Amino acid sequence: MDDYQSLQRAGAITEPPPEVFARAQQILLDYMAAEKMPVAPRSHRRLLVASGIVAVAAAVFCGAVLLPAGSGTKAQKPGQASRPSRVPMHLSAKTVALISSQSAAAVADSGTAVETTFNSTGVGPASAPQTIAVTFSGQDVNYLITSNGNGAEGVQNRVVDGQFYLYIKGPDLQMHWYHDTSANAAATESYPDPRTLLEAINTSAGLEDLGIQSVNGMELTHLRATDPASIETLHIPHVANTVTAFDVWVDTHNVVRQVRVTSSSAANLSGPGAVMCETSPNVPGYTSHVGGPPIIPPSERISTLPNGQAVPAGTICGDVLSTQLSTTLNILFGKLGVPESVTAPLDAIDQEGLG
Amino acid sequence: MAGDGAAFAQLVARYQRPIYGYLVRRAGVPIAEDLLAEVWMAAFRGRGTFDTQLESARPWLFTIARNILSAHWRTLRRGVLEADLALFDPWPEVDERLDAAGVSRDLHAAVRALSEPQREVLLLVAWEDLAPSEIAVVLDMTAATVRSHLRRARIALSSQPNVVTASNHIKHTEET
Repeated sequence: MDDYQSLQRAGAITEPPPEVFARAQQILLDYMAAEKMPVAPRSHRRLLVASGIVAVAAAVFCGAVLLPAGSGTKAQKPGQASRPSRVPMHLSAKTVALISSQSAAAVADSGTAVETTFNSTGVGPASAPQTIAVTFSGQDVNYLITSNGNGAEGVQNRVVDGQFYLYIKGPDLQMHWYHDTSANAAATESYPDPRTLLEAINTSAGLEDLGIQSVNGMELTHLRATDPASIETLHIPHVANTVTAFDVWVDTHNVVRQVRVTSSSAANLSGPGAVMCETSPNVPGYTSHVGGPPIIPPSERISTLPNGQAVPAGTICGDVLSTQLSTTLNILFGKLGVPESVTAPLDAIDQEGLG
Repeated sequence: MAGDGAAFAQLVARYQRPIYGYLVRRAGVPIAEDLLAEVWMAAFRGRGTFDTQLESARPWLFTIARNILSAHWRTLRRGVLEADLALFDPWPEVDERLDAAGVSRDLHAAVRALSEPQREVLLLVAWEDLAPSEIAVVLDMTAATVRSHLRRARIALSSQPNVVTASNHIKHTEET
């Protein structure tokens, strides 16, 4: 026997019992059954139709090829997951690059997204969550505030051909479209373009696969950055100083459908969010921290709230002069690639310096 | 999606043995059983990435299996001190397999002395029966680079006194 044959012999393995393949097939079947997301054909998608792989009747899949559940599989104890216990799997650079490019291609033309921002000071929400419906078509973007707890629902910001438009209340207290004629007014847009966060998907973040999660009715793969701090160096707009968590959820076409970034920064708060009240009773509209000893020092306590009302008896309120503000921005992409129209309002009133 | 499922079933049926063999030879039987399911799930999840220009799904699946294995070894490496990383062998099963099979000491030493890509190319030829063009896909390198690694492996093995026959076979494979 020569050395090459000897080397080949070293690679010989014993044929495994059928249960080995049946178990892997069952896990795959469970996984495929969980994948219910409808798939819209996209031009960049490459289907699994290769020469030598011919589609056969679906019955083959559950019958002759893959064994049915329980057939030859190891007995599953009650409460035991059908998938094997697994450690989070790191994504290769190639896969991360693929997700990045597929996602960029998916949002390149047009689409919609819902942005939700949560601010927290660590003892409670610093302000009501803000939700914005975003529609984009190329570089043109419309932001519609659907809820922010401050009565700004219905306000819109729109960028079309580099021009900035706002749909806000005018002096007559009616909603009007205004065109901010200031130079570079569009650059003052204060809401994040949902597509900019996709820049954070890169190998330096060290994405790992946490498994399948159901998000908004979609079965998506949940990825989490093992090194979220690396995202700070990208200086993505609207992402604060210290990135503490970065999560993305991708579909079966490696397109990001949801992205969430949590960042924190030292903040000097002002307005209602700057007032924290503690001890019972709660003060509606203001952040409350109930229970435990009072943490607001006497020198910072106030007797009148910003809305003019007196602080109720038994309640301690104070200005939060500085705090660590944690901001979580969640972006859920909706229709991607579906044509959207974002156009300049015809009746916009020219005015300088609105942004 | 039913068509996808049926086509995927064909894929699983056709390649489960070679993929399982690849995993067993590098990670051992118990781990390979778990990783096999991971390979199928990853392949199904990434089926949109399959390059339809390829003649066979085999190199694509080996690429996925190799990525799964690499991820597995990376999780093990986490507990290894930086100073010990150089000594960390991600493929202990390969050595054990060569030991257990009783290959000659010279051949074992020759294989062990190969650089990682050379050894990888050699074993993908000898154990997985992949052609250089397929290995090029798996290792994300050009076919010319694969042939170059094979050639270097041949030269390295030829320098061992008792490994002449192996290098001859590799030369034959390289030319096909």
